[in-house]
Amino acid sequence: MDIERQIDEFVLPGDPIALSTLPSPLDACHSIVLGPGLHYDKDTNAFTSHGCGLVREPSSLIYYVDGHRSAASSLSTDDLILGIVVRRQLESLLVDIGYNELASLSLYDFEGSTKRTKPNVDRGDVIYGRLKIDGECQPQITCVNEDGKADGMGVLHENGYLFSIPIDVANDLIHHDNLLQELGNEIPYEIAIGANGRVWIKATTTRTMIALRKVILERAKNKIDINQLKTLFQQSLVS
Amino acid sequence: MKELICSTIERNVVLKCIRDHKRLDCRTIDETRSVNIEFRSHPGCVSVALGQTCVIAQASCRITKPKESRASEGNIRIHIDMSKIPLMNLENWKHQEFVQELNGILEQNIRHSNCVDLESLCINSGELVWSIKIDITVLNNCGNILDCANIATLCSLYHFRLPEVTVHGSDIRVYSSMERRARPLRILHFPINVLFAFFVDGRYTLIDPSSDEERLMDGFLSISMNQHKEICGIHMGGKLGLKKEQVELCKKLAFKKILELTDRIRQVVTDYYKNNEPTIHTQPSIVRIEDGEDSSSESESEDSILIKTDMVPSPMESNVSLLLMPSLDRLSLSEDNPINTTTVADKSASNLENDDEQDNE
Repeated sequence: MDIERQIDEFVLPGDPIALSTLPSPLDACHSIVLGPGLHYDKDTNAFTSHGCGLVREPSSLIYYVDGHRSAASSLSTDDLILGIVVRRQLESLLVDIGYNELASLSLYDFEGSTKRTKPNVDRGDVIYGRLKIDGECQPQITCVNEDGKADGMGVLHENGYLFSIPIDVANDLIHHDNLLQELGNEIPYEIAIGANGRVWIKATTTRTMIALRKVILERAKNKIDINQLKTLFQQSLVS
Repeated sequence: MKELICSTIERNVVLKCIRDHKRLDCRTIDETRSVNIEFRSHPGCVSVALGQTCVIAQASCRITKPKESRASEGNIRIHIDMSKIPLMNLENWKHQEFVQELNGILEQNIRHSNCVDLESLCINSGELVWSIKIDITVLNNCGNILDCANIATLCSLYHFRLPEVTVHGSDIRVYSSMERRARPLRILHFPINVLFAFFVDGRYTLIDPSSDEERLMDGFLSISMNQHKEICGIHMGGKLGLKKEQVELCKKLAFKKILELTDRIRQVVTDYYKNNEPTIHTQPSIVRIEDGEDSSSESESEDSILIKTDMVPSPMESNVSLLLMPSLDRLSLSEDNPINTTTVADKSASNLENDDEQDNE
């Protein structure tokens, strides 16, 4: 039963992973970085996965499992996320970010907001902000950076559209993919991708928004070539 | 798991699209999503996908006592399970209400329209009838669970095969599908459901709403019709009033879709049985010999059940519980059930059926 998985192979939770092929990875000079979905058992000296997906090695001695994950398990401090305001309290907002519990956002954490002038935010508005998770506490969001500037964060504009995609696809789109730039060469649009898998897009017409959404969802479903996606985009623009 | 609440910008975009007679998934107003029907090897097990909405249905049969008032009719029950998908609208009681509503509409469509000939389910009038149960599990919700579940139920019924039974006086013998070919159910017509969603006080009508549209709709109208243009059930929900012409229009649209779907279901099932030889199962056959009306000797009736235990029961067949005969109620289920050697999941299934039996009583 000891079928050990290698890099770029599909694993299921509990599968042993052969990272032992590396040149003595546990030497003091080399330290291994295990990303999400991987676990090292000290007693048996073995690596096992506790996620489902492909084992990846983005650079040497860094490993993680690339697959579908829930939003709650993959969020960490300083992630940029999109949330929906569920309730407005006296000095703070409760925001749904796809986490186990609602995140809180202080009304003073907007650019230029003081005790007198609070921003006009209502239930159902979409917030783009930075996440702060402190241990087991309720997660917190801020919409300003260290200098007190908005830096693109804040309440997102009315004429957009919000939808969700899987988290691994969102991470791909943010970090590796040049699909968004390619689409940007065709047509101007605004996009905000949250690390919690929500995407906000704004374009001049509804038709463009539908086409953009279709392309991104198609990208999420099966990883097809960029040129194919571009032709699909052109087709859906016309239809 | 909980479903996220709807943001204002989503609402705006969806409503704006509808006003422009467009839809977010590039369909037209009167276009349904594609239906994908897939059968498993076990008779009566089918998975239906309507777009991204996915439902699995499994039909199972057992022998029960008929109602006093309808001594020669079997019965059909439908149970829908939605515990695998996120809750609607964050609140548990609303979710339960939604499930009950769906179940009610489905029961009306399937049971009350008499689409299955209930008298053909009779084995021995007044004593033994087949009782058919359809368990529907919703695996993914992308809107319009109702239509999907309805198609799944019909496919499951049409695909299901009932074991052959012979009655010689007081001897009743249930044959396994290996000994005698099981027979299909007698289905008289296909009541297919079509769901319409209404927006902005009923001014805009959509067929087959997706999950976004379903969350924002003002109300819905579900029409269940068969190919003879007979309405088998009509259901309205939400807060809206409709004009007569609107309902007429929906009826016309629905009829067009129903004709396509009926042919499709027929085609798919006949194709399945043409391509696949009837699967051979190794369920032991059960012989029950009743010694007249002598019910006082319990031990005798216990002995008279002959089970050929040399054959290993296949786990696939296990949900057809043949041993649940009414007169055997007093015997505990776990002792007599031939399937208690199989997995824990099967046990829980048989327990469920046991519970149902108690409910019936």
